[in-house]
Amino acid sequence: MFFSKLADHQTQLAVIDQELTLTYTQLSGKVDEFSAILQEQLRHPECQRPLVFLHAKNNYLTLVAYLSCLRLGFPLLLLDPDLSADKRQNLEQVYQPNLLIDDLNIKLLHYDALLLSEVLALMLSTSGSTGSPKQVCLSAKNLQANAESICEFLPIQPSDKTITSLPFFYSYGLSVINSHLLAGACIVFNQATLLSREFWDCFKLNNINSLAGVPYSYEMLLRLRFETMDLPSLRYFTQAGGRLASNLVIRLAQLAKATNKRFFIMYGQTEATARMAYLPDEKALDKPNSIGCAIPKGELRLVDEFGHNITAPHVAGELVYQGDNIMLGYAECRQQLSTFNPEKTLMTGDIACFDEDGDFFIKGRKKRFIKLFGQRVSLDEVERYLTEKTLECYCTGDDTSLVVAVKNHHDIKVLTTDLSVYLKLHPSVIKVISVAQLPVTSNGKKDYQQVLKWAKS
Amino acid sequence: MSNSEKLVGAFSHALAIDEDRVHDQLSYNTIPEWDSTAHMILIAELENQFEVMLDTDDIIDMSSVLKAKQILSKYDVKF
Repeated sequence: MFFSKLADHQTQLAVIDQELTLTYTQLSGKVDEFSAILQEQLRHPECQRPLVFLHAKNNYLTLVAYLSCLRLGFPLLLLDPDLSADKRQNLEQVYQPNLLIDDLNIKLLHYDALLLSEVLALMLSTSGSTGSPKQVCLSAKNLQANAESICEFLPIQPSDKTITSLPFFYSYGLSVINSHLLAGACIVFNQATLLSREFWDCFKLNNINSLAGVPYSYEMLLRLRFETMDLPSLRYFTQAGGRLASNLVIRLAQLAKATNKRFFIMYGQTEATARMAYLPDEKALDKPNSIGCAIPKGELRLVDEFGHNITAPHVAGELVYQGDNIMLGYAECRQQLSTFNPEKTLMTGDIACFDEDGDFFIKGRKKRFIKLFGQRVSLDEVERYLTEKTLECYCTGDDTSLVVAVKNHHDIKVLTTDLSVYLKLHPSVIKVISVAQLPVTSNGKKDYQQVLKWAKS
Repeated sequence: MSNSEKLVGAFSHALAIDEDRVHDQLSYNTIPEWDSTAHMILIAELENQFEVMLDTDDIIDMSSVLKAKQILSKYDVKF
């Protein structure tokens, strides 16, 4: 496992965090030290294997705590450090963690032994900032398998330095960290956004070799005139976390070609630890809409509505993935952490087809969620949130905006602001409309299409 | 509309805050509303309002309302 073999990379650079630099030997030493402290704190016959909540910031302290828990086999949940206090407390109530760790400060909550599956290593949220208790549960084997696959198709070299441009608690951001640790490469921790001088000063100072971004990151980069920036150390850049418009893919692929860099489009879900597919960089200009093929050791196929495999090109079906990186399962409360029956296949909920070369193209989505600024927003969850406020409403939308139709609501502005705060989304992507009657289809189902039409007209 | 009014309007719209909260000292990351999304919207809004094309350094240096005025004045926008 990558977390137990850190010391093998010896004098290779592992971490840069502002003034601090650690080799792999030194990082491994820090992890040993903190593991010993954790064990010391837990000297209690009842509690052999605690559940840990870790405030996951992009700093080396988070990395040390994360690796210590993985080594000790303590299951941990990575918390968005910006989660509001009430949402955090709700998560604590639902999961009753034994320990909270924040910057290596340990807060012991209780010693009660929790029944936790032996294979459970890590819990990640899929729903961004709503603080939903729903977690994707992953094993150490999941993390290792995905990191190995990633290292096979991305040109990560032991001498490489990457910079944290995505949250630590986000599966994509975490996959960058895990794969670099496996390769013996260096992670430069940074908490500033792509739009800050701090980020680019750090980038240039450390001669960063690779960059990861969601579609929104690349929209920002292009607005920042990425195409005219002089970044000689940058060797390759990757995009995942949703579909990037094909005209932007082409611009980025052209930029890569002109400056002798490489650009990789990737596809995945937290349910598959992170990655499931990637587009070999030489295909990006010809197939800007494609997600390419399955990652090494993974398998992608399509099934029709009866569950039969689709074998002909250009026929749409649900995308199904198979590989060692498929999650153990979901959990919504502590009791569900005791046993898992992992599925052999992952039904992605995405509708896709493939071409004659076997390259896959995403066509749509079965599940009711949208992606805004790279963040997954569950439409049913928003609908539940508003229903609890006794509002009669439908939530729908696409990857450009969230659309909410409310029955006879008088204060659209207040509701928009409320949703903006709850979802931590800019109000410009939230469209609330007041309707006299919520539309239903002829067979009595909620007519979300009609709501979308109203909102766009 | 004066340039100052346009500027205040752009900030108010992008940050989704009331106009009376927009003053010279208001700066990036000091209020939760001014995050990277708001910053992107702000840049687009300023480029439209003042018909300028900001470069990389302008965008990453635009860290306060005062700074925005200074940067825009390079493009002959007077306040």
